[in-house]
This record gives sequence, C-alpha cells and structure tokens, in this order.
Amino acid sequence: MFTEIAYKNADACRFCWMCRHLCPISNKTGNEVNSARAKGLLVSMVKRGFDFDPSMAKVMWECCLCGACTNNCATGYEPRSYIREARSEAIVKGIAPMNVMAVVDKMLDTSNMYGAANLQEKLDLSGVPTCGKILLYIGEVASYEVPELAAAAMRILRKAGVDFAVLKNEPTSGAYMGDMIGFVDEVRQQALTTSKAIDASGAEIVIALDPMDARIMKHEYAEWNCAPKATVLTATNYFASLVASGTLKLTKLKGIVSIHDAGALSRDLDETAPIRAIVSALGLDNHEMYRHNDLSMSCGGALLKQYDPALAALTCEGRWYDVERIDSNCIVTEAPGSYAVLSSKVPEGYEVTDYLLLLDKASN
Amino acid sequence: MEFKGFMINMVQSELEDAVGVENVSCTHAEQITYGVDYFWLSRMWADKGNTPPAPEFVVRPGSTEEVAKVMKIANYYKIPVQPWGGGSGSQGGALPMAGGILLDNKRMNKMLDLNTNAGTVTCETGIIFQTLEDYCQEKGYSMMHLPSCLTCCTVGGALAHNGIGILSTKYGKIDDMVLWMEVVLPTGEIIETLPVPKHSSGPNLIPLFLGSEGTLGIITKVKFRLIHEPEIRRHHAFLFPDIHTGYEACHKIVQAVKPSIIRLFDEAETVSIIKKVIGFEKQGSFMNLTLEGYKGIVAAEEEIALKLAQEYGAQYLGTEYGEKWYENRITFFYPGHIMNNPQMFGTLDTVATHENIEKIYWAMKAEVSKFPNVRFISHSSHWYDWGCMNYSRFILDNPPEDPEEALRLHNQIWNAGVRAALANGGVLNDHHGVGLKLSRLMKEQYGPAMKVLEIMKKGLDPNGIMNPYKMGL
Ligand SMILES: Cc1cc2nc3c(=O)[nH]c(=O)nc-3n(C[C@H](O)[C@H](O)[C@H](O)COP(=O)(O)OP(=O)(O)OC[C@H]3O[C@@H](n4cnc5c(N)ncnc54)[C@H](O)[C@@H]3O)c2cc1C
Ligand code: SF4
Ligand code: SF4
Repeated sequence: MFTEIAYKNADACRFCWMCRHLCPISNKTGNEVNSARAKGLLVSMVKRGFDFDPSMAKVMWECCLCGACTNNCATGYEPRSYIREARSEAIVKGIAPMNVMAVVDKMLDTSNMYGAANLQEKLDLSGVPTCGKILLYIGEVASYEVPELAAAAMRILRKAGVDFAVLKNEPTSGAYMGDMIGFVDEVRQQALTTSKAIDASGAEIVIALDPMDARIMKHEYAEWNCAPKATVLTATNYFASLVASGTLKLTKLKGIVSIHDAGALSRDLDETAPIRAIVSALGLDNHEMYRHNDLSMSCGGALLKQYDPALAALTCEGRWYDVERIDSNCIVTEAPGSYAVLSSKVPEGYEVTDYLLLLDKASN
Repeated sequence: MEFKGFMINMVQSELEDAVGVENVSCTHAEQITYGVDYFWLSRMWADKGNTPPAPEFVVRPGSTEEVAKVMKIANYYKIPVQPWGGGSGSQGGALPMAGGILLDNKRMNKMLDLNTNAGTVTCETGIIFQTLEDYCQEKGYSMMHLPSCLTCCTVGGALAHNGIGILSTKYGKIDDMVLWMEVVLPTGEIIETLPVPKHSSGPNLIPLFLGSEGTLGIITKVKFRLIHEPEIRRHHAFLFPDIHTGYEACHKIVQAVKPSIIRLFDEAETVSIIKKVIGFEKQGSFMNLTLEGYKGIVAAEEEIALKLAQEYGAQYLGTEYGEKWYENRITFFYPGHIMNNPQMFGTLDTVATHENIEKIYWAMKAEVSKFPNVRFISHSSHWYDWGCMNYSRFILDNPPEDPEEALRLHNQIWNAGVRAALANGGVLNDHHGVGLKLSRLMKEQYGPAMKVLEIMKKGLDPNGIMNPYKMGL
C-alpha cells in the first residue's frame, strides 16, 4: 500500500534516533511515538504485515512536516515521504482521526483548510487588476487568517511603484492540501488549476507571499510537469531586491528582534539571506535564536493549528522558549503561517511581528 | 501480572489521577514503538515482523512528584515499572519485558538553572542531551559530554548507564561531571544526594544510582558542572604500523599530556570504517588525537604528543584527517554508514588497565572470530592514565533467518566475547551498560560480590518492580 520509496525511507528511520532533538513536536509532547523513528518503525511494521490501524494513523498527523528531520539527515532520508503517504492511506482506509477529517472535508469541498467559500472576502482588492506581468500570489493563510499581511504586501508594492495583479478567486496552490492528504490526484489537479490560472494572467513573475506556496510551485509543480510559465519568487526574495535596489525607500526602525525562519524557506528552498537583509535594512538588530537558519525550530504552522490547535499551541510554546532564553523580546516572522501561529500565543512581555508589517511601517 | 475484569481500568484511572488523563495511554502504535529500542535483538525481532514486547500502560510524568505518585501506585499493585528515556540504549535496558508500566520521562525536560557564575547547570532528566548542550552553548559553555548519541538520548538515560562522550580523555566520564542528583526510590520516596560529589561524610550516594539502569530508582534531576568552550581545539592524525605499537604509544601519551580525544583503530577498522567515512586509504593502525584548551598549553602538549608518537614509529598525517574525523564524528551513526539489520552486530566495549587492554583485544578477537563469517573490528578511545576502553564490534552479514536461531547465535557470540574480556582483566561493559543484553552475565562478573548488589536491590525495591530482568537484579 505504500510506495517503495516510502518503505525505503521508513526502513532507514525505524532504528535511527539521530534527528530526534530537532523535532518540535516530540520534544514538546515527550511521547516517543512522535519521533521520526517511531513513524518510520510503524510504517515498516505495516510492510511486515501489521495492520495500519487508527492509532498509527493518528500519529502521522502529530507532525507538522517541518522537515527538520530530513534536513538533519546525513544520509538524506525523508520521513515526510512516508508520513504524507500514510496520511493518504489513512483517509482512503477511513481511519483518519475525526479532527483531521473535519479539515480534510473542508479542503475537499472548498480546496482551502478554512472551508471558506470565498477566500478573498477579507481582502480589499478594489482597483487591483487580475492580469499583469507581476502577480502577487497571496495564498490561503494570508488571504483568510492573517489578511493584514496581504494588505501590507499590497501597500508596499504600491509604495515601490510596482504594478501588480492578484488572481480573482485565487485558487489554492495545493501546498496545504498536499500536506494534509498527501500528494494525491486531487492535489495534482489543484496544482494544474492554479498553474493554468497563473498562465492565464499573463504573469512573468509570481511573487509567492507564502513560502509554502513557493515551495510547491518550485518543487512539486515542476515534478508534475505543471510548472507555470512565470518565474516563481519568494516574497522575501522579491522584497529584499526592492530594498537593495533602492526602489523601496525605508526609514530606520530601532530595536532588537529575532528572526524566525520558516522551514519551507530555510530548509526546502535554501533561503535565509533575504529576510536578514530586510531586517538589517530596517535598522533592526537581529539577535539570532540558537536554532536559526536551516536549524530553525518550527512553531507548528498554520495547518496544524487548524486540525489540532492544542498541539499547535504546545509546539509554538517551544519556539517562544527559544526567544525567552536570549535578550530579545520580539520575533519577526517571514511566513504567514508562522505569523498566524506565533501571534495566537504570545507570552507576556513579548511581541511578534512580520517583516511585511515592518516594511509597510518603514516605507513611504 | 494479569488484571481481571475491569481491574486494569481501575489502575489506569488511578495513574491518570496521578499524571493527568492525557499522559496515560497505551495505543497499539505506542506498544510497537516502546517495544523496540536500539538493542539488536529488539530490532531483529521487529525486523522479522514479530510483535514487540509491550507495556500495559505508557505513563508520562511531568514532575518528580508525579513520578513518586506513580511509584507508590505501582508498589501497591506490584506492577513492574520500566523507565524509558530516549530508547536509544543498545542493551535493551528500557524495554518493557515485564509488561506493566513504561515510564517515559521526556515530559520532564526543563532546564532549571544555568548558573555561569557558579559554572553549573541543573535540569530535569527527560531533556534530550543535545538540547541541554545547546542551552549551555548559547552562553558560551559546554557540558563537554559529547557522546555519539547526544542527539538521541536523554540526560537520564546517560546517567542511568553512566555514559561517556568523545572528549572524555580530558573532561571525564559523566560520573566526573555530576555534582548532585535527585532520585525517586522504587517505593516512591524522593531523595537527594549530598550537595557535593566528593566528601568524607559517609558513603557517596551518587555512584550508587549512576549506572543503576533504572533498577534502583528513577533519577529525576541533576546538577552538572559546566566548562568554558576551549580557546583552541587542534586535531591530528597518525598511522602506526600496527595496533600493538599504537597501544604502547598512546599509553605513553596519556601519561604525559591530557588530550581530549585519542582514538586508536585496529587495522581492520582502519581499512573499513575510517576509509569509508573520512577517505583515508592506507593500511596500518590509524589514530586521531585532539588537544584543546589555552593556546600556549596546547602548543606545548602538541610538541610532546607528536614526539612520543613518532618514537613509536607513527607516521604523522597532519591535521586534515583528525579534522575530518571530528567533523564526521556523528555521520558514522546514520543509516547507510552504521551497521544495520538484517546484519547482526554488537559492540563489546570494555575497559581495563594498560597492562590488560591489548590482551583483551587479542582474546576477544580470537573468540569472536571462531564463529563462521563473523568479522571483528575494534578501536580504543576513552583513555585514562591507568588504562583505556576497547570498543570492539562483531558483524555478521547473513545471520540466520529464523529469529530464535538468530537470538541464540547472538547470545553465544556475546557470551564468548564478554567472557574473553572477563578472563583477561576486563569488565562486562564500559559505557553502554548491562541492560537485558548482559543481565545473565552479572553474577559471573561479580562473583560473591553480587550479594552486595542484591541486598541493596532488596532494600530499595522490596517488591522487585523496578526494571525487572535487567542488570541481573
Ligand atoms: C547512535 C548511538 C550512539 C551511541 N553512542 C554512545 C556514546 O558515545 N556514549 C555512550 O555512553 N552511549 C552511547 N550510546 C548508547 C547509550 O546507551 C544511549 O544512547 C543512551 O545514553 C541511553 O539514553 P536514553 O535516554 O536513550 O535511555 P534509554 O535507552 O531509554 O534507557 C537506558 C537505560 O536507562 C534507564 N533510564 C532511562 N532514564 C532513566 C532515569 N531518568 N532514571 C533511571 N533510569 C533511567 C532505562 O530504564 C534503561 O535501563 C549510543 C547509542 C546510539 C543509538
Ligand atoms: S531522517 Fe535520517 S536522521 Fe532522522 S530518523 Fe530518518 S534516517 Fe534517522
Ligand atoms: S517533519 Fe518535523 S514534526 Fe515531523 S517528524 Fe520531522 S521534525 Fe518532527
């Protein structure tokens, strides 16, 4: 029932403990079953004749697919391969937990995790064209959960004199759906729909506000032969270039902050410099948390928050503890999902902001 | 023990009352997970599709007080309790062989105090060791306890089998780092060791619990000493004509200077693992050596160490291979580099005086090599001025398919290897512990002195519920 690739990875992980220290979930729950090796062991036992049962299925969603394990693996194994497949399998078998199925059903209905009929209802898109050379791809989290980031991004582009378009009824990229149900046909179909919509807009450049969207467009879309014609850029990268070229003029802000790297950017897209260039251009002093860049500890992410808010809150607590140990009291996020999660549980005396809010504040 | 009717639910609700409903469970997924640790036999058992040993309850306490409550409940019902840290122990010490309660300590994962003035760090013992090391490094310090399982194990696991890290030759074994411990006794009382690790105020309790592998109690908190990161760390490598000259030279070196690392590889490991991981191609006995501390002292020590090595015919290989070894020190343990099932393998680490260590190497090699198709590789690290450890491994690429046959052969090889060590002045184990794997050999090792351990066990754990079948107790 699993592919050979999944079994190969699971068989590697099942007796290996090397990356456990980086797992943001198992380090908070303290439950051995949440480690990458446990998930590998469970899948490997299925290969050896054990029934894939609801208790195993549940474990597969107690993971935010942050990729810290993969990134650490000296021999290149990828737990996310079998975790995604296990999710698909559990759904097909009808053994996925109820909290998970509630979100899966919303996704299958509306293609977004919020079950929103109109994802753009919170955005003011008046006067924004739907076709153009530069397309701002907002994504589901910044459209619906933290629309203030989408609004900030649009204001910044206007201040920089960039003519941009936003897709009408922007289809979701499949990034979150792919994490929730695995890379199954529905997700590929979604990818195709989005790619076609991007092509139809005449875009030459896509600025993906959410690194999750950038990641799937750059990696999986290419693998599935449905990459859009346009060049996909991460928003951090694009905005950093506007700052570097002087197109976006900034007044200096002051203070100490700590950048929270999003795994989709720092690990999967190997991008850590643009956010640091932006923060430095803003005049802010970035005090790194011990685990930063590609070692960054995930805060749980927007998807986990939807189907298991308690686990997301616990995971997020772990990230706040990293900043509590250093002389900074402000986290700067670079992904809408991180902002959504971290801002929902801010310890007293601390604050969280996003680079888009900072750029908006400092630009004129 | 067998529970009748709804008795199991009665016990479960009592445990839930002690640690919270969400912290007592025993799903099928958990039963599988906790039935497999790093012990080759548990891995082989699972690899063949057999059902792993399973507990009745997985209990995850969040504090010392909760551990104490669990122990009192377990004593009342006489339910076995098996402490579990990271499950990365290679001796099967944490496996729930007796069913009952599996006590996963990882929710007790707080750093309680990092005092740079005093040079100490205090933590709960369920914290992953690498996490504690990260917290220390954030402040420019290190525990200087860097075992290869740093990322895998909990602090409690390392204490419970008295572990050792790669820098031990300078900074010591973990027993040299512990200042104080809090322990929950098998009967549920919470005790503390005296506030200092060395004294003449009666017998020292720290060594009693260190290395007791969960058979005498649960270590819940610990205070360690902290060390500043060194000003300089310099790596070197040498090639000796053979292991014999290597042993002689290293003995002289550790009596003259204080390296942090000395690893002397036999000819077989030099041409296999060393070649594979750091690309060193020559034949002979490879040795890497690291010196660290203040620049001036390191320079003086380097001069002495290099001179002594060369007196014993070593070819100096410069700094490159020593640096490569250090960079790759963890790489060795990832799947693809480390031995893996279906291969059969075991690490027969032992420790002895300089007088005996080479004898043990040859005796073990001779005994283990009697088994058809078994390969033997070895190195010696963790050096003292009085002796050193020998880390010999046996590897069998095609063990019997039948799990019971494989188990039998595995134990026969272990018996032979370990008895060779015991007969020549060695001990059962240097730093992985005894666990389930070597439990049967404890009486053979201790002889009449085993009585002392048995009396202590009886006194501390009158119902015999702490980690049954482990460590011969
Ligand atoms: C890749 C790898 C490399 C290794 N390298 C080294 C090395 O360099 N040096 C070294 O010393 N070891 C090494 N080991 C083996 C080592 O024994 C374990 O990795 C580790 O120290 C065990 O810790 P754990 O938390 O995983 O304990 P577990 O495996 O969970 O338990 C080990 C024993 O300790 C007991 N225990 C656990 N916590 C407590 C507690 N709080 N109180 C009382 N008893 C407790 C358990 O009951 C069991 O008997 C290595 C292991 C691996 C997998
Ligand atoms: S990802 Fe790599 S390091 Fe992590 S468990 Fe799997 S094999 Fe081990
Ligand atoms: S992807 Fe992240 S959360 Fe999932 S097992 Fe790996 S490290 Fe843990």
